[in-house]
Amino acid sequence: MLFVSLEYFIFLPLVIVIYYLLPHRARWAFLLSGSIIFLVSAGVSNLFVVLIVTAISYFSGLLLDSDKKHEFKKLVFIITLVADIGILAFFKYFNFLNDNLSVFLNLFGVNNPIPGLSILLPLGISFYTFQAIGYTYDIYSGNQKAEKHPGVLATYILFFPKLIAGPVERAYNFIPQLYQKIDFDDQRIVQGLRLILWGLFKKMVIGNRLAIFVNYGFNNVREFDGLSLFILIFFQAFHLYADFSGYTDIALGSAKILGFNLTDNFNKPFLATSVSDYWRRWHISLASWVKDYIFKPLSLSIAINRNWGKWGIIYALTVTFVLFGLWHGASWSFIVFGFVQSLALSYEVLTRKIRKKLSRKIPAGIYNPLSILFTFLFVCYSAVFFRANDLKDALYVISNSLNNFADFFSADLIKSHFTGLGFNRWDALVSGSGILLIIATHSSKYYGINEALKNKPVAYRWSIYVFLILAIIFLGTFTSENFIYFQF
Amino acid sequence: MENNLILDRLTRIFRDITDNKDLVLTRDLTADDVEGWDSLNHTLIIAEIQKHFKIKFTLPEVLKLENIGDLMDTIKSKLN
Repeated sequence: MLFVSLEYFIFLPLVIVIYYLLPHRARWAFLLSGSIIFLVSAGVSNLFVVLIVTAISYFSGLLLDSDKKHEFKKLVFIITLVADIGILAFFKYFNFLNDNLSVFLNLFGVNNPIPGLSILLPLGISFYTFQAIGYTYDIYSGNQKAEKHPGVLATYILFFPKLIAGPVERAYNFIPQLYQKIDFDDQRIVQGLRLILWGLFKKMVIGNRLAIFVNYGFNNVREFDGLSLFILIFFQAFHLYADFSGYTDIALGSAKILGFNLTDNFNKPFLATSVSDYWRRWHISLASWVKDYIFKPLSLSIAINRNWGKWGIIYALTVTFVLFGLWHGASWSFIVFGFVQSLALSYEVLTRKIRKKLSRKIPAGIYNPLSILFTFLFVCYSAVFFRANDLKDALYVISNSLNNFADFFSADLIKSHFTGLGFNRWDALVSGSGILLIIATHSSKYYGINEALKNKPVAYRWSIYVFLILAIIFLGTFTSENFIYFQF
Repeated sequence: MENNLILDRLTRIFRDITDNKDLVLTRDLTADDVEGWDSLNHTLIIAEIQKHFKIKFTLPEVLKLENIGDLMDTIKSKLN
């Protein structure tokens, strides 16, 4: 079931009404059943893997939170990690590893005897396996108690608003909310509905419109050159933001109506003043997950055992971000995407003190906008590795994006590049206004739509609601365009 | 080693690595309270503490640290 579908807009109100009619003690079972229906609507096969991962987390959690000896717990922890990573790797990376093995063996004239698998990636696997690993790690490190109720743990892992594309929620944030009695609160429901409306607007009006040209451009990169590629590079960054932050708002809004607070994934990412700052603002739930569960243990164990100083940090950053890139998909372009991030972050580690000194010498009115600009340029260009169909396409787009530089200064030529990408006047107006709106929300002093509309007069709030609804109806692109992050 | 002495030496290490010369450490300070005490500097701080006090932490010990007080207690237990 997609978030932007008629089914979901029948499913969600039904769930909400029944949920609030039920007594507190029955709600977890209802949410679990609803989540299973949500998942199974996309195919029964999606259910088996998530149930196996939940069962592994449940039993290993009980063993890790028992009086057993440390060595035994360590063994349980390692087996659980291998099982969770093994399941993810089997479904997500088997064919990638097998294809690369074939290429390697072919170098020696040997044929790879292992056949490729034709299996569909279970929905949400990358998100729930990471949540399961985080849960196990937190129990093993003594920061979390094992959940004794298997149904509650299953509800945490399967909760439908975050099931398919996150946020990657921590058990210690979510499970206590399942035990709290949630009363019907009209204010919270209004806040949830606002988030859903704003998310739909970002996805359907801005994201889906940009998707038409970005998808066409990235599927046919060699048809374009210079300014067209430059436009594509920036538009794909806004497309990705509109799409994924739109998804996240719908997820957070759906959860909020049911009384749950999920982690927001975005905090005005295009205002980041450095790449490390960017990763504290973009896909926050996943970036903080890799920081806490990969970077921290790795960098600290290097610091304790090897004392490589800053080079230990750089090594840990590289490993963390290559894995982070690989998490998105089994391809070399995702690996390069992660590696490029680690290069930028390593540069920032090595130049920290120099940059701090520089920031004291240069007036903030110059230093900060320049930092935002350079970070934005890096983010847009590095995201090409994320968005392009393969590594060759990504390198083509980046290396040819500044060709025929004179085109950048001619109004007629700028117009012809937009036309070449498929834009008509109407598309340009809607896309341009959408991008301007994203920039405006970034420069607003408010955090999100709920803060922006808080304590505003009724007429003001309703004008915004009516505008958003009309915009979705009249300017929205009603295609079967899925959310980008559903593929992960 | 006395708590005051540990705190004094820790303050010097923190000031040097976080580049925050006016930093005053207290037992209940956490990473959120100290400018510059992020995950990158935390790694450098742990390595420097090991070198300075001639002690060796274990990974579970450092992952459990929540504030300066925890850090002082762990150092003290290693020195005694």
